[in-house]
Amino acid sequence: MLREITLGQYYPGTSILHRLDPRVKLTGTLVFIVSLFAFSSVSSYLAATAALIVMIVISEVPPGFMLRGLRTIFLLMLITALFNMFLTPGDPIVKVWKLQITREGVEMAIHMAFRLSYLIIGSSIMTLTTTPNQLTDGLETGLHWMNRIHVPVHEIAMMMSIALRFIPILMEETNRIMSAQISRGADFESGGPIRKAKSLIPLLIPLFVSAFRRANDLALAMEARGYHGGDGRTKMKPLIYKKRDRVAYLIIAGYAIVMFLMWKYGKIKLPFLP
Amino acid sequence: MDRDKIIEGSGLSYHYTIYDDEGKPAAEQAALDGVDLHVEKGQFIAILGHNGSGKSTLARHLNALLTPDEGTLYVNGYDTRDAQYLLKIRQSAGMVFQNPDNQIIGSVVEEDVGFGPENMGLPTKMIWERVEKALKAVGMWKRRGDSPARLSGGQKQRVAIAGVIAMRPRCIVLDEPTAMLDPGGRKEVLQTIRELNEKEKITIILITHYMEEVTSADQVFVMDHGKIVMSGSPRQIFSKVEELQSYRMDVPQATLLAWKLKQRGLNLPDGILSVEELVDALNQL
Amino acid sequence: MELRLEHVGHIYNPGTTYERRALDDVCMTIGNGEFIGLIGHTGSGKSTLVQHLNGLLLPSEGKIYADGEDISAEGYPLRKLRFRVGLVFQYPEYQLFESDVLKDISFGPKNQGLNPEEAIQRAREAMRSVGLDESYETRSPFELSGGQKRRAAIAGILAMNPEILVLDEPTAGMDPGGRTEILQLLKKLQEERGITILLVSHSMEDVADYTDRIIVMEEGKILWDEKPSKIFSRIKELEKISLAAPQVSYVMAALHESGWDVDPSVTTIDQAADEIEAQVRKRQAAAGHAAAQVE
Repeated sequence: MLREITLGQYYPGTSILHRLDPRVKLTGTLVFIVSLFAFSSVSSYLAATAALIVMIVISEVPPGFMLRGLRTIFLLMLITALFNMFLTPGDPIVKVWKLQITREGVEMAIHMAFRLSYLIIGSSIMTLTTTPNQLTDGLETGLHWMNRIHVPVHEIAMMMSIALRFIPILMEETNRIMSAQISRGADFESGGPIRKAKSLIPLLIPLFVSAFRRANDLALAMEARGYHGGDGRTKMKPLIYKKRDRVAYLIIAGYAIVMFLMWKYGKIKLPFLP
Repeated sequence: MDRDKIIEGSGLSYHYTIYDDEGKPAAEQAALDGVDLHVEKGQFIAILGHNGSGKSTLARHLNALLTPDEGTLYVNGYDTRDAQYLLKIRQSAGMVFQNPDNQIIGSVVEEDVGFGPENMGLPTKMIWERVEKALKAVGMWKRRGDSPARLSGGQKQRVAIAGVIAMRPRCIVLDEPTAMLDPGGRKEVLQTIRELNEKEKITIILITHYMEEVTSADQVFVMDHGKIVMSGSPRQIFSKVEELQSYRMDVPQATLLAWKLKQRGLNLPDGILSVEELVDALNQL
Repeated sequence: MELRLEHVGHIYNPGTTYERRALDDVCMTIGNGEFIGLIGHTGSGKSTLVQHLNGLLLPSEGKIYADGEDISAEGYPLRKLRFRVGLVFQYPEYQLFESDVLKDISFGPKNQGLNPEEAIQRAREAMRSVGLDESYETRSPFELSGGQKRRAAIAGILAMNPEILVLDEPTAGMDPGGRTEILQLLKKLQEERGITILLVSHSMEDVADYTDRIIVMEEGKILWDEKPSKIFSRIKELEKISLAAPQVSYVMAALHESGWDVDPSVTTIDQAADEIEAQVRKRQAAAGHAAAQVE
């Protein structure tokens, strides 16, 4: 059952975004995130919002999916906003006992809420249109230069993709061991936190043992098939830039320039605050 | 060295070290004890033995995952103790393991099959050709875009076999490939193995404890306590029911029934392998 | 004890795109000290059915009664049911976790609420009945051989003193010697302690040799629930649902077809040998008689 559920966020599709080289999407996401922290004017918000809307539309992913990610971080956003509101020094607007809300605090809170939600939506667009495999491939190829500073990029990417493959298997295994221990009268639900934590031992130990056994088996299987690290290895699906990728890079560059100019010259205060 | 031999092993011994609680070596246990194994190209060899008889240790030697403590082993003419031939040996003798989930590396069927050729450093175009041919040979070409999680156990093992074939080996060593499968999956895998042997002339070394799987082998070896204790054609091996049982092995029901009838004085031939043979023999009485 | 299933159905993930029916109108009663075989190809619903028997899964439709009590009823003590209906999963050695074998086996009895001495006592008895002697008590379960691990895991269930023991392919992946040991252990438990055994198996030979009753599942339904001789006389029908009969049944059917006066419903080797030998002797006697007459 668990295996049926696609892991991660990928939403299968054939839109232009789905077909873009993962390196382009990674770069685009990075540029977008950096630009978020340069937001200072209404016009830069408008530009970023426009960019997001266009991306959502051409990704052909239902917007509901995009916003789902926001739900999970709603609490985090709320807390951040509250902290900002109360703890930023400046002109007080409201004063309750020792706490005060400042104008700067409200501004900051609004900024942060926008930044966080744009960050989540922006990166969801990438994960929803890119399979975990393409993502690790993109990282491996895109970060290849880091090999020169002795970062084992290939190995890290290989680890990520294997971890992704084994997560559903281990999830299923967790279920199975849990059922087996419940059949022996194990009780994972009642009791206080300490008892609950202790009751997990019969689940966790077999799970670790099994994970190690699988890792061992897999290492043998990889070795038997001639795996010897990234050296001299070729790729079955090499990443090759196509025309659409070059165009996408140009658009990203254009966006970055616009954002930079707005940051440099266009410091306009938010109009709805005095 | 004999050109017709794919495997030439003489006097192979291998010991596992047992460690005590403090992590110091406490004892040595022989997993292989003076094994001689010679396999000709294109043969279908079966190695039988109970759990712990040393058959998996032997299998791992054939792919140079382990190297012998004593004795010599040549695979396709390469000495397995010589590290410079490692990749060549692993290309010559591919290996399929027991657990279908733990040997599939790729998240898509075709990518998994491409894993070996990628390691060999082949050009992309050639990788694709090999992947296509390998998946077609095991009848899994239609499922190339699927996630392995969606396949049955038998299909996963066929993908694992394709992953090995894509490296164009002379020989495939299968270490209990059917132990975790249901009867349908077992049939699928066996049929695939037989076809590879017959059509592609790939040498097969099948390690198993299911007797029904070895009836079509050219030669059968039985292992016990790290030694080869019986060898011969399936017919020769299957006629020694009591000896097999003493090594914790079993024979197919038809063979056992024939043997029991023979014990009771019926005039039946030795080493009956199948239901049809038994019925024919009885009808001729 | 007696477990009665009335029109049980089970649907996984109802109301989602992954909705799937696994059981459909299953009716059966088990628990009279029988040795029962449960067969069916992968995906026929065996594993789902088995998990209903100790309340790990509850039916989406229909009712299950344990000694007349509805196990889906609110407040029904499901944990107690799990001690009475022992469930041994496939590859049960993957559930071992304690530092030594005795502690691991006493996990069940301790959960039952027995005091430590009683639990240890139960664990010792269970070890003895699966053939693990005292020297194994203090050993780590992880350093046992495959077959020993399997037996230790089964002992972990036995130590709860279940009245019904359900095993999902307890011999999977074992060598023939190990398989026979496990099956004989089960037979002994059934004969000497009156435990009802429900054995899920892919081996037609095993179920033919050991069980008195076979339940055949197909597409979540019970297709047949009869004696082995009845079940295995349906060779053609079994093959249609990707099952088979033991080789002996094929031999007897073929002989019967070619005119031998043998009972085609025989399912074990010894019975078959008796039947065939009797026939051969009779034929030889007749031939001798005829020869004598010719002379």
